[in-house]
Amino acid sequence: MTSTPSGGPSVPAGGPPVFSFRDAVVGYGDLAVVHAVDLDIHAGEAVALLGPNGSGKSTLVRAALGLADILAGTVEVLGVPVARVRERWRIGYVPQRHTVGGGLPVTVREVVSTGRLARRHWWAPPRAEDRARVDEAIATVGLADRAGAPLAHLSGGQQRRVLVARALAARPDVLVLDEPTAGVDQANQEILAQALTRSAAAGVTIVLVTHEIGPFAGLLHRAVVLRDGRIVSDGPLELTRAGEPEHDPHPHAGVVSQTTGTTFGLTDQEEP
Amino acid sequence: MTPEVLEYAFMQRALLAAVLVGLAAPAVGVFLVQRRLSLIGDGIGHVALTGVAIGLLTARSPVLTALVTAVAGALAIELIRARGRTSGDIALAVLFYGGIAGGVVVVGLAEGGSTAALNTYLFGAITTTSDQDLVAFAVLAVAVLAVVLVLAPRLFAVSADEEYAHAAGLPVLGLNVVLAVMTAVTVVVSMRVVGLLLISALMILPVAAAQLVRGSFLGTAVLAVAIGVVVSVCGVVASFYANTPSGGTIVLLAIGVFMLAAVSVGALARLRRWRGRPDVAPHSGPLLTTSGGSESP
Repeated sequence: MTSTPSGGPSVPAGGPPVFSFRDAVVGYGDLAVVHAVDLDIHAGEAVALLGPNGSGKSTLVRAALGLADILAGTVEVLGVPVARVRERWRIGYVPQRHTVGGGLPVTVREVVSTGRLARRHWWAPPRAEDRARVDEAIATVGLADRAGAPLAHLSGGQQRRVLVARALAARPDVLVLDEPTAGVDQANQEILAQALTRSAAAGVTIVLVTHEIGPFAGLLHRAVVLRDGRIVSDGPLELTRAGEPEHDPHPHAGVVSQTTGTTFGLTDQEEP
Repeated sequence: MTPEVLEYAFMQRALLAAVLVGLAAPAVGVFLVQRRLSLIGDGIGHVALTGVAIGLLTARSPVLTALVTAVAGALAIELIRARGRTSGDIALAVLFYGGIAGGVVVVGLAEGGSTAALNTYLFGAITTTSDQDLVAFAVLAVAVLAVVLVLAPRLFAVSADEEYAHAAGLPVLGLNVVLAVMTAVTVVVSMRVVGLLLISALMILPVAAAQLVRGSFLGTAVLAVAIGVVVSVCGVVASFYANTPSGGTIVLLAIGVFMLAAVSVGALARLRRWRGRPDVAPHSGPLLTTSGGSESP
């Protein structure tokens, strides 16, 4: 089975695989969360990984980032096994958390600057280009006027945008976002969607782990649906809405897979 | 005319040592506080005590044996933490008690050894610092500062978000080990000035005070180092005139600075509320509020 969508008007011609899972069993320690998954995500695609809590969608991408254990099968990133990926900056990662940890105040710019480190020699001070990319990334997520502000003074949605800017600062070829809209208000979701749309237009591959497609509907080409650690649907994305987003708590409830022709009404339990 | 405090060679050595410790301890401490590992310096200090006792037993330089033991303890704690089998919390507890118990037992084995011999290392005895000790401390302190300065951006990235640093391909374990080793070296450098039981205070308290009034990591780090140098030097001078132990004097001064900062920040916030001014945070520079009213979407 090829995972490359065969139809759909907005699906780009598949580039080389960015992520390639072959019979992959993924989890933590002895615990397998994802079972025997075959999946290719190609350069230039914008893919949503959907599924209820505990379906393994986060674990799947975390395996590709070297953050989860590969228990069987293979996971290749940019054509090489995960452990041997040298240019990790090419994969920009936005974790599920709202903010960075740590016991001390940090500014927006300080957090976003860490996104450039993987592209800098360890002894070298930041160059003008590093600073320019950091400012550019902060502007892309609409926080240029808050660049010097302490992170703790920003709202939860703004802090998520800071983490997106951190991922963008390295100018990655791939953006992996884990639940970027969880607990984020509508206005912030839309700013986030605009930033991602610009990145996608620039050729960046987007992998979005999410409960709800919501504001990203116009951006995504493909939806992969997981349940209980297995892919149950993979195909071009078509979204039907029962009503306006604010009246529909589960906008993805009508995800229709053209591959199987089945409607997946996902019953997700929102996190508290 | 030279002030009395500078007339004595031992006080000149003491003040130089105080400057070195005041620089190095908060410079390492900012990363420890950022990682929420404020007490690791304490654990390593306890382990260093075993090293001091080994030095007394084998008639070697206690500085050297303490350095070896402290670095070994720091490596052990990071590797245990990275393996994830034992929580950092329990690993620290093992170090705390193992270090003290080892120190007491080993010094008991030394000829004519008693725990009294350990006192000067536990609480600091700056006036007994030899020229040889001072040279060793200076070399170690400069090495710590150089490493921290060069690796600061990466140490910050790992301290702020270890998972992201890992995903971005930074050598997380290596950086954590470097930080642990720098902590161990700083503990040994400081043991004559503030003592192994109090060194952690000088790593943490200046940082705790600085973060109350600064809004950025860099601002916090710079101010913490400045506070560290000021309280160390003032503490040594005060202990000379008041005839008090230098370590305790320095730490009490640091606590004083922390409380002053906390009270001032609280009072300023209340004053602003009382005046009814909108409590909007500045975009940069000093942060004069700790809570309330400034969160805006």
